Amino acid sequence: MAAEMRHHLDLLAEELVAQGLSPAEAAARARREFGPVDRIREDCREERGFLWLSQLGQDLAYAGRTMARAPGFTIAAVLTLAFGIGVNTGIVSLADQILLRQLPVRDPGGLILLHWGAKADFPVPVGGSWENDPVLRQWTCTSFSRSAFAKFRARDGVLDGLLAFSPVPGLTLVSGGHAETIPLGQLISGDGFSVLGIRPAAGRAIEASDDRPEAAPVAMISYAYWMRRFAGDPAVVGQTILVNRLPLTVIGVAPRNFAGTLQVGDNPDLYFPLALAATLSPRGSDEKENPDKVWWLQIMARLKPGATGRQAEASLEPILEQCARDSLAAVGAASPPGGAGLPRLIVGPGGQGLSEIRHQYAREWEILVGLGGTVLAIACANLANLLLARGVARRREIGVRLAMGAGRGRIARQLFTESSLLAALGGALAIPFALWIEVTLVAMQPKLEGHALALDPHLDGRILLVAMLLSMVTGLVFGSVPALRASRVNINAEFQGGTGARGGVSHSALVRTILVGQVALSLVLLVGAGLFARTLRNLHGVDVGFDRGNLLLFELDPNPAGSDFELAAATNRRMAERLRSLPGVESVTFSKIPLLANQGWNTRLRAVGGSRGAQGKSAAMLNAVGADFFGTYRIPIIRGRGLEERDEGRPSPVAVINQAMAAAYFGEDDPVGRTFEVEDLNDHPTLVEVVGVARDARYSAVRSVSPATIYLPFSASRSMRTAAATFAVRSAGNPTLMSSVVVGAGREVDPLIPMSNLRTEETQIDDLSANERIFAWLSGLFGVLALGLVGIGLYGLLAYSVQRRTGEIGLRMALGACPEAVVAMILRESLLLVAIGLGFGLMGAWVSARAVASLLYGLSATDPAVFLGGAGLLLFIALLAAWLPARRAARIDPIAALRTE
Amino acid sequence: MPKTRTDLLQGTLDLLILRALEHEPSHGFGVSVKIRRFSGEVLQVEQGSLYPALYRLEAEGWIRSEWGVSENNRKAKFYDLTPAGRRQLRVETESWDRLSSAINLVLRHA
Repeated sequence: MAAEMRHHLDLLAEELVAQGLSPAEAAARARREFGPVDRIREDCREERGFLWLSQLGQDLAYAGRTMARAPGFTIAAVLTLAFGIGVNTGIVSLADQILLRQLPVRDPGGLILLHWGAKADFPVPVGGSWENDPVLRQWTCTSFSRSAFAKFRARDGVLDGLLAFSPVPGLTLVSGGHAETIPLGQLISGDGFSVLGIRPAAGRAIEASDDRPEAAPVAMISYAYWMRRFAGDPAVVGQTILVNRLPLTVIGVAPRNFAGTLQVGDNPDLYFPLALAATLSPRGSDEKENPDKVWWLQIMARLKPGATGRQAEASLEPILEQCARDSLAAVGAASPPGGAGLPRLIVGPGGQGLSEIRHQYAREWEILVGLGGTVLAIACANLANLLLARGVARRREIGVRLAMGAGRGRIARQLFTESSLLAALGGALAIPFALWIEVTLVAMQPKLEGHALALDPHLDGRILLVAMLLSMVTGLVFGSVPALRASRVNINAEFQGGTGARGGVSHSALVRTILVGQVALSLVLLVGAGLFARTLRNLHGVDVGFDRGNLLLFELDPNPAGSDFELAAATNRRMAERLRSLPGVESVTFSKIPLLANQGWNTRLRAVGGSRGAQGKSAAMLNAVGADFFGTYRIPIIRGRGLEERDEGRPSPVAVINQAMAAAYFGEDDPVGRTFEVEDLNDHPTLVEVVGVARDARYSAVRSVSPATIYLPFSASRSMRTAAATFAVRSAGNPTLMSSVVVGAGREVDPLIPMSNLRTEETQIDDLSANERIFAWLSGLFGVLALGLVGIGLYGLLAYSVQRRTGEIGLRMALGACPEAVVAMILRESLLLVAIGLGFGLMGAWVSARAVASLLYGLSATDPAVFLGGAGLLLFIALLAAWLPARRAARIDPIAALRTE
Repeated sequence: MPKTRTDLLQGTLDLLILRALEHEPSHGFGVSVKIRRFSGEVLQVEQGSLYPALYRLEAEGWIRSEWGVSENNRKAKFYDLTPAGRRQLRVETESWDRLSSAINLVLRHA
């Protein structure tokens, strides 16, 4: 364009030269005649339609310069935004992984997961987890029998393929002469991977041909394990590994994001065809003879396009009923004539795999998301206040621009651009905050194998975008308030010294409203922090019934499933002996179920010769323990004696029961010498004699009261087919210092049996309250931050108010008010604001506290001490924030003040 | 330049430019010279109006531009009518005829 104009100018000049002017004069005249080149160019650009782009560029440059000139404001605003956006993004990204993430398979929406529920007791052995369905008001289960799976498969209809799977824990893998424990593997039916529709990262997937009894044993490994153990070496395909002493060929590697179809956080390292179940899994070998006898397989299926879950339910229901009858017959139980009391099929969505744990976690993560939302609200409120304050400060600048001819729209647009730039910067800086909070949350998760959720700290871009959008909207709304007001600014008044007695009333009102909101939110956070902190303290102080200090624990599986129980149990005893001889070790024991580890083993009871108790009513927890159990854990024996070596291997087992069991079943009588029947120990009811009573100790959860517990000798667990046990070593000093010595001694006993999951009892118990710790920490952190923001905001507001009212205060003092009255006036202003905020905050805190009531322990959700403490803290901050401005107000010289008016 | 005057003359200016480019392409200076000459030195188009008008006509799609070499071997931007522009010229000429006849009728009417 410039060239074009120049050309025109030249021609004009030539023309004038032709008329007789000198070249210099001609050039000057030409330029004068042409007119203002720049404005013409701008008009042209406007016609062309790209004007807005260059104006945007100008706006951005100007915004950058103004922000650089007010570094305090800019830094405060950007940091506030970054923190709010970042924290939210981090929390929601993680929550999404747990709650919403679908399996990385083809069309996860087309998958269904089969469940069943029964109104009455179903006496067939069922493995796997039960879940209480609040809608159907019954317990539902996801385990089916092998024959049910075969029959479902045979029925064509609405399904486009089925797969059966089951977790298999605690495997021992030997590869390259090095043994290690694999915490989790997964059995999967032959064409399971093709039904899911995934492609292996290396090698090939398990196929139907591998799932036959006569096929060569094969396995797939997970991508994570491939990276960890084999460093991604493709040569692993075709290698032979020993799993539970069974040689297997590795045929492939599962895809990168695939972590099995089990519970969220359960990531199997190995996948096996179902045919290997008998060798690898105790359940599998149980049902080897009779596929009707045990219900242990989880079943997922793919719906044909257009088919619905209801149709699948209807189609498979009769088959399930028949299978149930077959199973009842197999265990020798009666089959109800009608359909009543038989399992009913329930079809649920399968796109996320098994879901019981996810449902348990949902609660916790919803609370975390709520916390994150509160933080974002506080951040936006803070940003709004900052912008409003800034807007007031810039009125003079805006007045000048208006006087120089800028249109109101132009100024408004420029202010919008500034706010957007702020939001964009905040968003960019939010990324490290988001990553930090993700990493911290993941690190605070329970650490133990089998409990830990394998979470991947990465950012979900969508969430970042939404949070940024939210803050951009806040920035726009509150950036535009000064703009709107600025465009109506009376230029004259601004230039004459802008702080009249009535200046900025509505601005102040807005700021106050926002502050009130911040106070309310802060109280909610502080109350939350207080409740969780006290819950943690209460949990820590619970008397668990045994001595939890100085105990080192580890898992040992001396002989994988299916092998000789006696030999394996002997290995356990040998290990215990060896460890007892170590210096620094006071006592050693082992047990089937570790104490307070979220594991359980229960049974139904009968009075001798009496009728069978209803499910859940007469039940007790079981544990099978080795020698010196009560001594090592320091559980006192109140009556009779503890268990001894001679009690092992008795045909009719003896047991020590705890006080709760004694009270429930024997009342006031002395239970020593009495007998009772246990239903679920072996295939038949077993008579047990009581030899002692132990003091109550917690079983699997700190919160719940000690349940009725029966301690049996270790050999009584032979029905589980595995002698895997948790060892407990009581050390004289710090147990963690003993770990290397203990591991070394273990290797001496048998180098091929790995000891896994080394931890202390304290750590294990602490893990149970990991969630409470996270909440306490997060709400505490946010609460303190919010408190700080409130303090700063309040201070700013009061300082501005004092400055604005200098004249008024001077007048008052001149008329006889003493400084104390002035101070009281300022303080009243501050306290009034906070009081209103507290009012709202108390309501909000009451509602939120009720929402988290189920997570608290030892105090009620409306514990007055916590509420009062939070309110008191806020009032204290209010006084603190008011102190300086009040002092300044008291020092106002009335004469000087009146003079500036 | 106050907007109001331009508004009234804007349509007429477009018409003149289109007419000036009807027979052969020309650069900005050439167009203003042509209009001056054809009107017998009466109509002098200001550059401040000419160039924005040229850009607007180009945005509408009635003329197109091309860089070329002028008579004195200088680089210049030449404008030319598009087929749509020719149609527009016809339409606007008719409309101007109608308008000016109507105004004449009013003025001559006794």
